[in-house]
Amino acid sequence: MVEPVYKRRSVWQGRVDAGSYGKAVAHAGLHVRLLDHAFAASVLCPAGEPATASLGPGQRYSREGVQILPMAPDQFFIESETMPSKECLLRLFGAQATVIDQTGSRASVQLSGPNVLDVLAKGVMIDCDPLAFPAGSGRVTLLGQLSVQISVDAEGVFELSCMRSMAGDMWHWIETAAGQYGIAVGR
Amino acid sequence: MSGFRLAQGGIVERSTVLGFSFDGQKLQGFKGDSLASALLANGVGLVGRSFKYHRPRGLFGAGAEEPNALVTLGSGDRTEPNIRATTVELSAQLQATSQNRWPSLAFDVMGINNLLSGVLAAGFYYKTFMWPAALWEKLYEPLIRRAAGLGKAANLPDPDRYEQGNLFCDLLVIGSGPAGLNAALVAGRAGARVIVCEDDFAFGGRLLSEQYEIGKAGAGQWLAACLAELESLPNVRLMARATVFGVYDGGSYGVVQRLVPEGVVPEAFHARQCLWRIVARQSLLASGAIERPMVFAGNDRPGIMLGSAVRTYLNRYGVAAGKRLVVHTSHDEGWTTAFDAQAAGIETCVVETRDTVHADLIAKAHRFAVRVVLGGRIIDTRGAQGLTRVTIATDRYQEHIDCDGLAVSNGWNPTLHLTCHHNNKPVWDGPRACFVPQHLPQGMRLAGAVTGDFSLKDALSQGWQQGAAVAEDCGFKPAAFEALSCSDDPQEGVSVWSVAGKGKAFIDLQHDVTSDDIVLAHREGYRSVEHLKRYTTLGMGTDQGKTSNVTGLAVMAGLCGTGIAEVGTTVFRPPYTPVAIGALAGAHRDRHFRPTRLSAAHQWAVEQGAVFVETGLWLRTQYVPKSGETHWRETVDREVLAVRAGVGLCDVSTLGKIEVQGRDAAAFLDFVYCNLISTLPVGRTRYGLMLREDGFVMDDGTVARLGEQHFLISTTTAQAVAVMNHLDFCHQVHHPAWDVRMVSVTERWTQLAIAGPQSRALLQRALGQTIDLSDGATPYLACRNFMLAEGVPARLFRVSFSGELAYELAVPADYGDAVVRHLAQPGREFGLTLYGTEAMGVMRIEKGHVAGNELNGTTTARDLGLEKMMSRKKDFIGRVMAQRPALQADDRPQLVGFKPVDPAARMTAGAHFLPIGHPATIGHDQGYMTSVAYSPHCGCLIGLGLLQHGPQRIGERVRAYDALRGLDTLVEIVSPVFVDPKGERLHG
Repeated sequence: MVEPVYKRRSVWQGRVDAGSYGKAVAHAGLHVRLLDHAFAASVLCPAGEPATASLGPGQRYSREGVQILPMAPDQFFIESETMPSKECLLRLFGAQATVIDQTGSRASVQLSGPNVLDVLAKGVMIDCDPLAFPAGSGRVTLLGQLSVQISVDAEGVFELSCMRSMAGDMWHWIETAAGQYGIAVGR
Repeated sequence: MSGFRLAQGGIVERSTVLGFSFDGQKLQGFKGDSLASALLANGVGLVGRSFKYHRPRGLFGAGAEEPNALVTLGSGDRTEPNIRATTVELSAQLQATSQNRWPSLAFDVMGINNLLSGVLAAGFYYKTFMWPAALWEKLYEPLIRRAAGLGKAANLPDPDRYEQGNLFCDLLVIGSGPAGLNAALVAGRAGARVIVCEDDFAFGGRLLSEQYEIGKAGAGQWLAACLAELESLPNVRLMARATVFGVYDGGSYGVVQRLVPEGVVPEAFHARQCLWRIVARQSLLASGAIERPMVFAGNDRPGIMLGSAVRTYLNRYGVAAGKRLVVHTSHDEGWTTAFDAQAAGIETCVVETRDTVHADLIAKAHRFAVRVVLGGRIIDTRGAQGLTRVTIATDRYQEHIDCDGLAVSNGWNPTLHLTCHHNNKPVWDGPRACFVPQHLPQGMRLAGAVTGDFSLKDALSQGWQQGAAVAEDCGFKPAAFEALSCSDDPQEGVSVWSVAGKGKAFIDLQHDVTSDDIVLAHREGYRSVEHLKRYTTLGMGTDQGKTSNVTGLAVMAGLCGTGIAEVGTTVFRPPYTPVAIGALAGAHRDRHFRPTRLSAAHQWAVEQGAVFVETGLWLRTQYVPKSGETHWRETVDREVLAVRAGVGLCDVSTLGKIEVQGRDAAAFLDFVYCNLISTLPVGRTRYGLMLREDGFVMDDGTVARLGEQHFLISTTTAQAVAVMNHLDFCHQVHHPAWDVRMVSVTERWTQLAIAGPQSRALLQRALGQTIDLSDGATPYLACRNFMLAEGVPARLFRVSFSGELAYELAVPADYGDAVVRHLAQPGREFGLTLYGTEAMGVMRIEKGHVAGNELNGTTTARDLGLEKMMSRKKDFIGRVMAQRPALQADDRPQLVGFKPVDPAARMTAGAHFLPIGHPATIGHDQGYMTSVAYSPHCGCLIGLGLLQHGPQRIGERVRAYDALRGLDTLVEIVSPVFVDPKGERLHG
């Protein structure tokens, strides 16, 4: 097998390995899954695009295998595990949408575990309690000084992402905020 | 004072003995003690020295109001000064040290200040240090600095960690006394999300300090049941050691929580303190009240304390404040102190200022065998380092009473500090003789003693009603009010602010403000409360005058012949109690003071031995030393020469990259850039200059046209965010109807500059057939979208900052590391040199390219020689304002180059240009040097600068005068382009 010339390097590669971090405990209080979405893009639509009328703010939508987070009026950030087809994007965002590839531009993790809310409270500026931020919710907010996107995959399971260049800071936050509970990192 | 532990009583755990030390003396206390109660139990009455006069001081309060007992905890890098002993939870091995004394607490040399008190009265700073002026810097200031301040900081890095966090709730209860807990209970039961913050390390407030009854049992049982229920409710969070120190906008509250007791080293991975931002739909302030003292001669001796504090030590900690106690009171509350003390076996005498009191009190005093003196006042006290005797006076006689404890009671001041944080002034309530809140921060309610209603019954009922009201407001259905039977508090009293006598009578114990100081302030015209405060420093200590402010105002009112209502009050600002700077900084310290951005090619640069420099948030390669190089200049010279002679590589991923698309994208870019962009052909790149609205240059960069309606613009690293904001503003405000869509793609692309005469050859070898780099296919300023092998998308821009044949290759960040390593392989054959921002800076100065030093917010396009870029064919941001006469003036400094006449001479950026033979005055200032670098090409320092009539003066000489560095260098004015003025190298 021939080695590829250009080997893709995930943002987490060489930065965090699977394993245990923080306090040595039998059952980690925070489970971290390092994410590596195969595709990401910014989608910019003209004002009043009917195809996106149902994509209001505050939610993260899952449509046809594409995760859609509204970022601003008529602006969306999408992620998926395979490159969506043109037809799919057309259905989701209409014919006038501009799709700008952003694959690899963000560092993402999935957080869960018994202390996930305690950990999130130590940085995320919004109320992550299930009553205020139920499954399916999504926001752009601050994690300390980092601008982050946060969404709830299921109750108690959060996805957090920041700019790729700041991945080190996000991991530093996870280590310091969750160290006392014990951290289990997987892929 | 000779306090001692009672054989029984209190709620401390007598089975758990904790060893601690005070000033090196080994002592013991119990779990549940405060440091103060443990000291008192060990007979330690002298705990500190006052700030100004260094008078011996003892415990005065039992909580946050304490003005005297400030101690230093810990040692070495964990030294914490100015901690109130009354709020410190006793822990094993706690190490406390007294402060503001030398050489010892018992014998303090600075106690001489007490003898100089006539000189050191209020305002002495302003009067004493006026003359001779020459002594200010040499003598007065050093002396004052030495004397100022309380305690000594560690001066070492704090080894502990601090956290910050955010919590949200329907109801934030501030204070866990009967009012707060009852509110939490009703709201919590109804389903509201409730947070209870308690400053103390134990919940209960005054319930811990009094012998109350609730229901038909002791208040302790009710408290235990209440806490057990609250802890069982998943929607209720109880936070002990959590001080709400500030009220902010939008229902936000600042809370600092001590996660471990002071003096205890946190476990690994645990923080010492957490600074919480709690956002509450509503809050209930149930902070209670602070008892106020009376002012009389000698009222500051160790052994004299608030009556409420005496009861706290007695009932909560099982500690007697002395063996013989006198209670000086103007209020029924003081009698409770006497009864509690006498019941505990302490011989007690009540000195009541009133001539008559309720018959029940007299009867009870008889039952308890308490001696009573009606119509009495204390006019003097004795005792060098602890109280030994008081002198009482009535209308009929004077008497000395030997005692080692004196409890003072003069009514209560509601703890209303937090209600003032939105600049709401409290008002004087005459009937209740206290300030009460008038207006509240939005969303705040009150219950309990903070309202001015001081009874237990009121606290319980108000707490319930307010908690229920919040629950209802938040959409819950609270249970109906359940009245609880409870013991009644004594309520009656009068306010006696000051008792005449000989000797110093202290109002502010921490700042040594006496009643004479108030008299002096009044005599000298400082009668406004704001002037009074600042002239005397009343209430300006770490305790913020919790026990002194109202008394000081009352004394001033007496002097003015008015009521307290007319005198008014100052307001309280955050923080309620001191907050450690470590908590405010949280995790944002050292390397993590702010985020650090790293490019995808960073790791490779690390492996090459790069030295990095902070540029905005980014870490960029500054230079890359090779073994044997001993100075950074040596490295930079090598890098510059290598690029000019061969090929170099620089990571330019940090430059801002913004995609601009849409039908009106070209028109929009015409609007935001001063030069014409719409004429740019697809596949070409153009230098763009952006002005601010005021006509000054904002930023520069390149604009690449990737499609008819598709542009990619670059910005400087530092201005990337500002430019994105500016573009959004221009779109949304100036041309909202235009179809323009923008998004930053800085993070998406790793961009590498490959520069030098060998750059084409190297790139062509590395990229193979994926792109034709010949001049014909990829001419100067071309831009291309193409695919690398294996289908990796890429972009190529033939642009140059160095003035050499150069390209910028952009690849997705996921492939940035792979591509730079791939380029490095043939790079060995071509002598590829990694270069950093220093070499890049040298080369851009050699080419006369402007950068941050010149784009400094004060220069116009004309100043920079870029006036021709300002299109006359269109409107653009900054066009009109750039025409202002002052920006068009002939004598505005303009960009030119400079060389020292003596090639070996030093010149510096920041130097001012002066004509030869004229003095260095502002009147002769003709401009300044913006950038200087050593040019290996020229063999000397070269510079860019802004000089009046610069372009017309090429060949002349001026002085580059740098007073800061003591340099005065003769320089020649030259063209700003030092290398390849015809631009031939750009074309290879």
